[in-house]
Amino acid sequence: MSLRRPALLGWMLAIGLLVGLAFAQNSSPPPDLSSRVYDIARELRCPVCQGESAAESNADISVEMRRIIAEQLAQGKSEAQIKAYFVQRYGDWILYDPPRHGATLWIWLSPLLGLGLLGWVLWRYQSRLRQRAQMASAEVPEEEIQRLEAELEGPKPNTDR
Amino acid sequence: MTPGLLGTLALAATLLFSVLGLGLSVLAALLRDRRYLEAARRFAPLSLIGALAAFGALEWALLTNDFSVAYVADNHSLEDPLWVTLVTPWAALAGSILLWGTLQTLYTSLVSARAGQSLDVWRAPIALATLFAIQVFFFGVMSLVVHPFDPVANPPADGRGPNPLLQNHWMMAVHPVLMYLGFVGLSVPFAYAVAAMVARRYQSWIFETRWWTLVAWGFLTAAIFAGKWWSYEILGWGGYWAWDPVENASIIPWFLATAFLHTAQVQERKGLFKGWNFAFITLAFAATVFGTFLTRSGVIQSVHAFADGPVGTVFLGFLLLTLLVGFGLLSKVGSELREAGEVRWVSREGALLAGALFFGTFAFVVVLGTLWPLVIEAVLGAKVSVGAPFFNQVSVPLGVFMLLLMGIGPVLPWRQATSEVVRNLIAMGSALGVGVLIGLLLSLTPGVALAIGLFAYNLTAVGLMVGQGIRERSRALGISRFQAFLALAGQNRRRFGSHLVHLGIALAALAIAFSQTYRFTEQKTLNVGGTWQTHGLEARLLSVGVRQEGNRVAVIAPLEVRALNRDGWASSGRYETRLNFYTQMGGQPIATPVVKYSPYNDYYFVLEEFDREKGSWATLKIIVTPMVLWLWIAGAIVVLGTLYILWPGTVGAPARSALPQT
Repeated sequence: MSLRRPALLGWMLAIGLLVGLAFAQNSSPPPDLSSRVYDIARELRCPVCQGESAAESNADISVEMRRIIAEQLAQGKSEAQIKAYFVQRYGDWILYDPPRHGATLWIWLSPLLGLGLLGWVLWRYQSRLRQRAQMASAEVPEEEIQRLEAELEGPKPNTDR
Repeated sequence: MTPGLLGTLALAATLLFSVLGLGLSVLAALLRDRRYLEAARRFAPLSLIGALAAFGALEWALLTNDFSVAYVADNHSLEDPLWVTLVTPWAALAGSILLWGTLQTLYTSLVSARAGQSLDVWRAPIALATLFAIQVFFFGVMSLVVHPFDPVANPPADGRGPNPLLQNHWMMAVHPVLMYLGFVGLSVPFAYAVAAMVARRYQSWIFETRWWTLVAWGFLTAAIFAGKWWSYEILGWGGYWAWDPVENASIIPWFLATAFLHTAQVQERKGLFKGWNFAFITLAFAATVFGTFLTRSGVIQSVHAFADGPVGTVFLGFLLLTLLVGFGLLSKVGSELREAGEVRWVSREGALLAGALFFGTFAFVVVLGTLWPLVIEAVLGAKVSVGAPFFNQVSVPLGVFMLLLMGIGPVLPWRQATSEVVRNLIAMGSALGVGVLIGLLLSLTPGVALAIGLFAYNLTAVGLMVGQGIRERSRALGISRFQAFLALAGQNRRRFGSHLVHLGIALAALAIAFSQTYRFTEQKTLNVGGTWQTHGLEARLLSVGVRQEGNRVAVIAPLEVRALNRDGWASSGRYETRLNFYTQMGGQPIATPVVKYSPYNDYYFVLEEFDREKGSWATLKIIVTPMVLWLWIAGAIVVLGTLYILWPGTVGAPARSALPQT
């Protein structure tokens, strides 16, 4: 046994001193949870956290959500039914997997939108270039000639050295 | 002299140097006079010295416990271990901006050293002006908005100390610095692009810019993998990537820089995609500013979020300015761009362009997914969430296409496909099919089977190309195959390194598919001495004890684990699961998981809760995830491949790229 096990009083004291009363008691241990509970909790938002799912967070409400999921699974409810239960309580907002309709449909279409958008820009870019290539390169714009002449003068020599 | 005074003076001096550098660079560009350029260049190392002095002053204040500096009072305490004190400058907003600004002066100095040489005199003043302008922005922000050296009227006797989450792992000393090196590094390619557009030299910038981008990309990649590993080690949920807004902010520039690296290669070789490359690199740099805005504005909830306040607005303004400069210039010079030919889709340039298209799309999806909840709330007033399940699902098709293109691209020749190429493609297609079949026969999910197929496919692609190069070389030079391999690896490092990077990415994809699909999590409460059989292992709780460790108290519950069958392979051992209590956190403990790494499964033991009255029971969580170890190996391969390309000796060899490649 590598760990010191101080007397009960010392045990409480060591932690109590540091963290105060918030630490003092817990009535019963949290429930046992199966992997399926976590699979479902991972798709639900922890309502009070900064962008964590109910599977990762240790906030009281997430602990409670995991307990509810475990209970409902034990009652034989399906994943969809359990999610529906939370949606009923919190709205669609609780789902990290946004529903494929309404305002969040667009987000599911975003890969196609992005590909379409970029493809369209690419197509326009290519067709412009083709047009420009056909316009023949013999014709050099006047400003470009002026610029080249100006540059031919070259940068002023470095008189420092 | 106090640290606060030194820091304030150094910041002011750096701001002044940056303004002078900017003014002189602009004069050099306007008057086309090299003397101003030479003068401007002197201000690059000067601002580096100034920034280092400011950074040193902050370290000084921290090391001497100078609580009259607000930053020290807020983020440092007397109990902090030395290494925590040394990394505290990037534990909060003001200090992290100082680190950012300091790295910016470092990059500016490196660029300035090349001005007039590989960076010609036409572009140099403009590139420097851009970098100095960025410096002016950062040091202006530090002087006016978030001053790292703000004094405290009544200095406390002791400070609050940094966020305990940040002192729980040594990665705090590594990941943020790598990330900033990557983010700030992308300012250089942007500056080169601006310079190329202003000086209207649309081709010559690309080689060196590609090199700079690869440097930043390498840091970014290393930072992303390091961050994944960090969160895996400490966050206690067994995952490594949560699609948190700030994680997204780091992956967006990575996608865009990757797209640029690929299309830049086409421009270098064939003079195509000039306009694209300007756009992509502008977007990549803008994405780093966007990321900073997300982290520091408080508009988005995230575990990484730093602060809210005026600094968010300032960064938003800077983001808009960046986009305006990049795209404004592009629209101005767009009509002048001439491409050296047309794109054939079934060729290497076609595959590279398609790849860039997918990277761009992925970046678009991540931006949209991150911002969509904000947009919906602003427009409809409704609250929605877009989280990991969404991103994981859309990543699959995008990832599959990218992995397919990754294999095809290097195999296809630059112009038209030949019969040999067709043979190679058939071999790769067969590898894909066999891989998928094996996966299905092992009754894995279709997604994982596809991942195995894609890995085999990419492995075959690299094998074919390397093998072909070896055969040709050994035949032509009459040397042994092994010598030919060494010659190949030594002479064409760019190509060989990119093979390594691609292999690493293929392996990472495989590891991600396995670990995301087959993660197993279970929680159970055990009495001391009780046992728990799950997933092929048996765990016994030995005791629940408490230990005082410096500025924290640890509750420790050691577990004795032995493997029962194949599912629990390599899980045997003794594991000290623990919860750390930090004074600053009140009663809220930080779980510190114990991870047993193995090439097959990783076993992850977390102490969730314990009997606070008598220490007679403990609630434990076991997470079993297959193949995670290979993700870290893959990350190391990618970074090594990048280093292999960048290692001095290949730089400045644009001429070689004109030779036929292996």
